[in-house]
Amino acid sequence: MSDKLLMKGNEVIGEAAIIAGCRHYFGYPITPQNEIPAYMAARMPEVGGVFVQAESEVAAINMVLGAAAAGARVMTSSSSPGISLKQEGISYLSACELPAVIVNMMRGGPGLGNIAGAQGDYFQATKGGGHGDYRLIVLAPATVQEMADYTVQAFDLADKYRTVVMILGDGHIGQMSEPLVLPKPTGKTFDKSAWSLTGAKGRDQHIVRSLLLYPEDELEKLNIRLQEKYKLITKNEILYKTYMTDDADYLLIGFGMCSRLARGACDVLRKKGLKAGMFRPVTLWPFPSAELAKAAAGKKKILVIEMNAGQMIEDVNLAIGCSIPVDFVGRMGGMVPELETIVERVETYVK
Amino acid sequence: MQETISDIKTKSGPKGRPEIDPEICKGCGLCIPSCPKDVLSISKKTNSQGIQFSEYDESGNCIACKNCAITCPERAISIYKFVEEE
Amino acid sequence: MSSNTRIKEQLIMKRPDSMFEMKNHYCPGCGHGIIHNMLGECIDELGVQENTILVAPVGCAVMAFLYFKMDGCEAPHGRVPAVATGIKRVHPDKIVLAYQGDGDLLAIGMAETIHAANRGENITVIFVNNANYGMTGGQMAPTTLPGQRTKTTPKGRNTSTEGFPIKACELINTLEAPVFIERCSVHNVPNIRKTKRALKKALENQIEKRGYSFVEVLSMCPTNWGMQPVDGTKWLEESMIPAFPLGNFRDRGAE
Repeated sequence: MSDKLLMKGNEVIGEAAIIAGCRHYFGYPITPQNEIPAYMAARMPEVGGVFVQAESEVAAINMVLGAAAAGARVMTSSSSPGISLKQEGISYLSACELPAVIVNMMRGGPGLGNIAGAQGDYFQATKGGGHGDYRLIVLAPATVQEMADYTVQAFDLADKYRTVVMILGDGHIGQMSEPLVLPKPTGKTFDKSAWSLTGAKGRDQHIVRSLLLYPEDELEKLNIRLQEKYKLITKNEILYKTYMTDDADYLLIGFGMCSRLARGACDVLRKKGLKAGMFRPVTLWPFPSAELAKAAAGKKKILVIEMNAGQMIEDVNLAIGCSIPVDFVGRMGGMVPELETIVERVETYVK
Repeated sequence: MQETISDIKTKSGPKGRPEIDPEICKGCGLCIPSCPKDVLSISKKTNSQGIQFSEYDESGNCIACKNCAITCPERAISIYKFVEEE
Repeated sequence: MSSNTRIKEQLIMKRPDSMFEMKNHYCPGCGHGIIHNMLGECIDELGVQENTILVAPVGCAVMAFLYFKMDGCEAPHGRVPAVATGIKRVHPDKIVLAYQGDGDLLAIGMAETIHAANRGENITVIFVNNANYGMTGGQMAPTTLPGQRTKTTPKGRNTSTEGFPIKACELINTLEAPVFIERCSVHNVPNIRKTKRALKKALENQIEKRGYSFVEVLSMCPTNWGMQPVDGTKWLEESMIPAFPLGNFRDRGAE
């Protein structure tokens, strides 16, 4: 087991990005993700990469836009209030069909909130956040190992679809140290020569833009192309995990940190003789709706667990078409639901 | 291309001419005061967009100084210099 | 003219080779076109057309890249220096141009402007100052003159509530990193020629990897100033130049 390392979640994201071939990182300090820019500031020069501490999250996301347009693998990271500031840039990146990886280590909100881990940005990440009809691929890791694996995967997905991929973690996973094996580079390469900005030598000019003034001839066409791309992503890239769902009467659903709680609750409930299973979306967008509907079929009750007021629960209800009663346990403001609360709630379903 | 205005001035006769593309010209008139020989004016004619464009009076007084072309925001004006062959 | 000499016509000035043969979308008498042409001539003379990437702002020059046979990138409003930074950090050997207006550069993009300059990014910033927001119909800009009427200062800019024009060159001149800072104008031929010289120096600085260059160009906006184009050049000379003195503020490339 000599390959096994003990690393902090945030630092793992930095190293995984470098493994994926990312050589440009632009960021701005905000807790609880400060280990990412600090790691990149130290590590990028060692691999011939570029680290820039931008003057704001707004500047950082627009440096990402420039670097992505120039054809580079590029990443930025932030936490909830900073991600709010990046929304304009994310909309532009999506419209310009530029690949980029954005990390959000969510903290308590709304407003300045606090620096404790939370999941209040689910809507922002999966339903838009910025203006216009666009989607992000949203990956929600639950372990430090997954932080590494999904970060590497995120760069391939971004390049494959020329889209923005968000790693949606939270302050807890970012600050947590766990053993992991660093992933290997996937070795996939993507040809960007048809659109990237490299100087118009021996070819027509390339233009990266989203201002398309003619509704029918230009902007609707872009939108149709984007929607076709999103359909393709939905068809190809859904990720989810299950735990003891087959014979379960009760299905616990959570993403990221809360999936760990759900899984733990399943173990406790099984010991008590209650058949509980866990369903965990890994891609929050595209949401594994059909897969969830299949896993939920015949269950007596669904319990959604989130560190927010109930956001993913809306997608759960849409997925199952309100065919099964759905209950919710959630804490807000940086609080984490307690295992006992989840277990006790499921026990009430039997009575 | 590299000859200077003073080279032309030593010769007699017309020195050059501006060629104004009436379809590109927006008739802003910035070229008119830029001309030291006062050979440009706004035409009574209009282009296909109904714009009264700038025109050369064909007086032969153009000295090919390029001022009008430099001033033209459209670069609707090209400048030809007359040079002697042989 | 002796009878044995024949006269031949030699084309001595035309549209720059690095620019497309097309009519621009700017209003009659707008200074953008003149600045584009000077930029195009510099790019021709330096032979860098195939190596240059132009970042366009939000504002009247939002589609500036359509006029040049070069790669072009859009930036969200005010973010041109950040986008240019991203491109330049990926392609340090390409020429990256940041073309911006007064609202873009000094209002919404003030932070990006100052910090790109302060980092000494090896880019060339071309700042077109026409004392108002042109594309949105003539609102107050950071460079609107005291008393100047705009859509949002209908009785004239009131300095007690709306402040004074921001002087970009003077502001950037307080920073250590920039290597070249100059304010020019395009209201008449001698000044257009000076503008071209400044643009060329700014580009040469980037080619030679000397660092950040900033060229402010006072420019006419006759449509929103509510005057005839030729009157616009007079207003620029009489009203803008006293508020924004022309000249070179820094030229470390020459040292």
